[in-house]
Amino acid sequence: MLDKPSAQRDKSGSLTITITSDAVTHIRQFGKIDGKEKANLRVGVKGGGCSGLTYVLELADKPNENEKVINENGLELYVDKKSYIFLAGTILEYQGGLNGKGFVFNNPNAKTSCGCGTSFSV
Amino acid sequence: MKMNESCTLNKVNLHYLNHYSYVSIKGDDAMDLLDRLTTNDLSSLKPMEHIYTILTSTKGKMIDLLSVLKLEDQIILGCSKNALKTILEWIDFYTFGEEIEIVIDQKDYESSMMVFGDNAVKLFNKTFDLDMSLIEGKSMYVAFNSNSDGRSKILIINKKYYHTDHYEIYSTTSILIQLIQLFSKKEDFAINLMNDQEFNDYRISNNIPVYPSEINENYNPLEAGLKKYISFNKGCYVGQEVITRLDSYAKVQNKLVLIKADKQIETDLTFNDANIGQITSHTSEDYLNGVYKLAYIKKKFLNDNHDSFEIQNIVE
Repeated sequence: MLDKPSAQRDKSGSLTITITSDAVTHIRQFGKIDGKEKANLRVGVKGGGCSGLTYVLELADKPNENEKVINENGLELYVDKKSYIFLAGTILEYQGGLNGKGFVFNNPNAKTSCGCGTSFSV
Repeated sequence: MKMNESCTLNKVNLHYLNHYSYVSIKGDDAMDLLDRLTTNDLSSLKPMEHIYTILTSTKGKMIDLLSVLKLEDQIILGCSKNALKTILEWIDFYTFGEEIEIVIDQKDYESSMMVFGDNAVKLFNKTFDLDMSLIEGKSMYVAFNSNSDGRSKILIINKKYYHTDHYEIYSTTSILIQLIQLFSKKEDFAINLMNDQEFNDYRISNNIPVYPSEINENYNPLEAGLKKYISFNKGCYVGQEVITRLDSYAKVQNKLVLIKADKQIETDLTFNDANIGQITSHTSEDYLNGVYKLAYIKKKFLNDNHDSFEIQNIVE
């Protein structure tokens, strides 16, 4: 069994959100399909889902007002401040192949997840 | 006030809902957010339509039964007054940038009165000179001449929670008081204005759970007999996985039942020294000597013969 990745910190020692290089590659590919040469990513959380909080992922060109911007492997990651509270320390990776799940949030704040993995509780 | 008069009069029950709060929720994302947090399918609700839905925890336990009325420009959310703070905190916790505005002290629909019984529609028609036909889940505005405010507008909703013919009128407190007086003057009608105790007796003897005695975080909606307010097709909501699993695998542990006990019995129910359940409410001494009670009882003991009480109904 693979160990759950440990929470990541930035240079100041604060918890941050990390995206693996493989995940960045796939985000770029999805961006090209959408006609965006250099797409960035908005991540967030919204209420709902079996466990209460659902992950949100969408391609984005620029940050919204009051969004935190994180630079990771050449990709800009936009996250609103409330979502950041629930995502700090998360590693976003991509699991490909026949049994792969696509984008996976390894979130150290998540105490439980639902069966399909799209929602979590803290 | 005409009370318990001849059976030739058309009896109608009124009950002023003291223990409920009504807040206005506005914003493009309001209904979607409520849909993601509660058990029933709110996505197809149209203006002037009403639905009951249950706010559940991630463990599938009940926070409260919510009354959702969609109007053109807002949602009127009804809930138990003592649960309001928790519900607002719950909504706030799960709001992430959605466009939603909650008005707690809205005045237009600050109060509600139940009008129920087989003659409720007759009373509306006679009072407001209508030919009303309002199917379950629908609402309508009605105008009438009030003493203080001239022409006033009230909202009548067909809800069907407490009775087959269960209507509620939403308005201001002062207009509802005037309406009670107006209804009471109607000839041919015996208006029974129920106080809290009489209403509690009524709802217990009719197997109706309320917050907090039966609807609380110790039990799930399937145990409380509220399955009709759960959509199993709508997709995810908070607590959905647990509730669906309990239903699919028949894993519901307790059932809410109406019991009859002629003598005083303990709140904790036992069978062969084992704890089998708990009484949650009982009728008053004024109503058939208080023999009827609602209780959650473990399912596996429902078919046993109990010495101290008799099971009358399982709440479904």
